Amino acid sequence: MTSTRWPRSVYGTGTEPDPRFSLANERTFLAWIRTSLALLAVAAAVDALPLGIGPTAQVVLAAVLALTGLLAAVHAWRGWARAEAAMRQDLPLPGNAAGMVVVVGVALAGVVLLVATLLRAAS
Amino acid sequence: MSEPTPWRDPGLQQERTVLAWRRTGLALVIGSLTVGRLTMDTLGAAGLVPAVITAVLAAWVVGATLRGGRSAIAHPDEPTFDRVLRDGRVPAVVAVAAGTVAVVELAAAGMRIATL
Repeated sequence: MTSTRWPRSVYGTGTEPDPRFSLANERTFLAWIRTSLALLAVAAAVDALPLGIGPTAQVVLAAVLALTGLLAAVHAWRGWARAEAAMRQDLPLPGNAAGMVVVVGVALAGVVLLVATLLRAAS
Repeated sequence: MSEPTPWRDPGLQQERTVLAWRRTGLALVIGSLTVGRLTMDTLGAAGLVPAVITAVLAAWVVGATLRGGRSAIAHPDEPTFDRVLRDGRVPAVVAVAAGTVAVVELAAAGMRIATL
């Protein structure tokens, strides 16, 4: 069983951590997936519903949110694999610098929405 | 780990993890179908097909969390729910599924930008 576990980059080395920590790592992964899905749901809604900020602003907003959702899904997997590998090798857990990408994406979406709303109000 | 003593986990880690998988699976079913439906007028079947495949995979994940009444309180070494999950395969599938939904939505937004 152990030899067939995938991916090898995670399970190829080290020793089995406390199962509770592996489960906690899995839940962190799942929380990132749900974050990604939340961003994608908002992106789809923004793309579909009229917001009164103009079609260009809306589609740019949707694209920013969808791209952030994609990066969150990528980070979910990478973060899980790196944390699991670190626990197996008894190394410190990797930092969460990649999570910054989501912060930047959401902030960017906020700026787009704010600017579009202000421009609409001014005209 | 000498004798098979009854498993006791005051933190209910296993149960919380099963529930986390379940709500993520449900969110993925709803999310993928919603994105598939909302991008239908832009992408048509090109967006709907990956959305439905993703929804089916997510439904399988939800089903796996429901299978076997004891799975939620199983010992981590017992061959139940966690035998499927104590490995990177299911997380990889779920991450790819979420990524697929993102790509569908990005494609729809891209199409709209192209036709502005």
